[in-house]
Amino acid sequence: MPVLQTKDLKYYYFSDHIIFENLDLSFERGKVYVILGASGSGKTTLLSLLGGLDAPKGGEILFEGKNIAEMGLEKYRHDCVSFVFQNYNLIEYMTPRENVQLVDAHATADTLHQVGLTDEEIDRNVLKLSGGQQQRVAIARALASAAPVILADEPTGNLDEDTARDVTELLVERARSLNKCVIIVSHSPDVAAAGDVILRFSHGEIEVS
Amino acid sequence: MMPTTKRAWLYVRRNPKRTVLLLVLLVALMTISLLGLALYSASGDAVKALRSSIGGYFTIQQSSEGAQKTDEQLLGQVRTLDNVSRVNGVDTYYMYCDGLDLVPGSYSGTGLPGEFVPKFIACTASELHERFIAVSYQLADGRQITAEDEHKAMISEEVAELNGLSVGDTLHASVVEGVMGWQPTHVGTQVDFEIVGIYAVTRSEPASPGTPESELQENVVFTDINTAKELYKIKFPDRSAEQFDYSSGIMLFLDDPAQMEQTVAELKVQPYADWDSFIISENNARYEQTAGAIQKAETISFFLLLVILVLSVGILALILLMWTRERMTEVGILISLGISPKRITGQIVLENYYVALPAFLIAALLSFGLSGVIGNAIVGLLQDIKLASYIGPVQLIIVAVCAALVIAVSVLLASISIMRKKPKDILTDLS
Repeated sequence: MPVLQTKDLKYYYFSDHIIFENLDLSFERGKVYVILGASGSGKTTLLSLLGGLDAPKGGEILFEGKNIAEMGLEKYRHDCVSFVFQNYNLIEYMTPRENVQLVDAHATADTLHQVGLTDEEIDRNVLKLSGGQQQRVAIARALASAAPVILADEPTGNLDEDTARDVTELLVERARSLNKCVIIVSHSPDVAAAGDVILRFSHGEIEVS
Repeated sequence: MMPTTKRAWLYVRRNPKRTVLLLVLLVALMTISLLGLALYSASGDAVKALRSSIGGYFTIQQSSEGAQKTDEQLLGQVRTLDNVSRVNGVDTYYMYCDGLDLVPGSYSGTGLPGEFVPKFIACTASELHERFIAVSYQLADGRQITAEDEHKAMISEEVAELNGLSVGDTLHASVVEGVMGWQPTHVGTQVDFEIVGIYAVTRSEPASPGTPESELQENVVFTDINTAKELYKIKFPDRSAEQFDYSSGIMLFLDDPAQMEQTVAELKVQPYADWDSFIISENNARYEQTAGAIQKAETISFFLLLVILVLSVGILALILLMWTRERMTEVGILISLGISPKRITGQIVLENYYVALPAFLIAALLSFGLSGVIGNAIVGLLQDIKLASYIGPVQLIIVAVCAALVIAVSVLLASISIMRKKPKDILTDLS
């Protein structure tokens, strides 16, 4: 059974500017999905809808068969999905450990060790970490959440090539080991190469490969 | 998930500049508000005390046509009226004091019975006699006559000097033939008074050359009411004590002279007397002279408090609104983590409460410390009033509740504008 599904999904900003319609997609646990496409093609909009950050104009999104609107988007965001953003979105006055504890109060240092942070780094203010380290904290926070779906919006967009490769590997490997479904929006061919399924957005159409 | 209380505490600890700034601001605003409230309460009491010290009274005197008298029974009834704080019954009589030199008037050296006859004014409390209230007389030595006194007298400085009398000496009085108000059968009645006080005439009343010697200001002898009652029994042996007549009237004093009209109106509907038998004279002149100033003081203290509270609330609300709106990024992140807007708002309110609590304690201590200096510096009227005694539970509760409400409402208002946005829009704004 797919963990996440869209049925007849439709979204537009203005009625004459439809981003997509009749979108039927299916996402499974343990797989990595990469959404590719030009800017403005609707990739981030789809991610926002899948993350319960916005509501579709038509159709429905099902989490394990249940309509997420009926579940309540707040509860859905809390229990079912976690995010990794391009600009990390960490709470600036907290340490990496505390950022992870935001989603799991009992999270230990191991969660952060597994993404490559040292003991000294996990209790340092997040603003005193490099971009790559901050993104590792964001990934650790997404992994620490009990949610089975990780939604990542351009997670390597602000990182240099080597760091981007390391971060992608880390995200994909750790998510697979935890049997999580990962949906990544990216422009990067390296990220695309790490995916199991590629969804290519173009003029409101989606090509799955 | 991390508890809201921990998130709030971390924010307070990790943003020391903001925390210290808010603490200083809250301490300043709370201290000013507490002092403002204390000043308002103190000025209210000061105005009340001023009114009371100014006093107001009205006199009930029997009219010439009236059948009813201003007797002991009436005094007992009228003293129970609302707003009446003190009562002074006054009786006037004349007695002969052999060899007592008085300030010369029209009987002086005539050898007539009117000579050596001062005017005796018996009072329940001589300090409440209208001449003392009008400061025409002032106590110069000894003490005033009180309701408990018997055979006590107070004479003027002039009479004391003329006769070499002082406090502790005795004044001999008797009834001789021809003294006003006495029958021939009373001749020979004698009474002695111990002089307990000497008064000074501080404001002269006009007297014509024809004014009888006994009526001159300096020739009044104040005595106690109990001796007057003894003499009444001698004059009217067949009458009861209840019939004792306060021949010069009954004075009723009000704590708040502003209540004069209301109290007189209340008196006139009392069923125990025929009020047409009496002349009721209000004396509110001193209050009316100062009423404008008192009202001004009340208005100033009210507006001062209003300005202080409005400014404090305004400044605090504005700063909290600005600070909360600046936290859009954090709110967006917390929403994306599935933390409810209610909990996020609760966190921000709690952060401010964590700072407000110590600020309140410091402000309370600071207000006590500053109250003496500020109280005397700002309002001369309050010099005798300890401002610190006006910082009590009521003032503390008002300030605490106001601060708590302003914090909660400001954060709520700022949060509403953020929370109304779609989470996606908040996160889009961030990126």
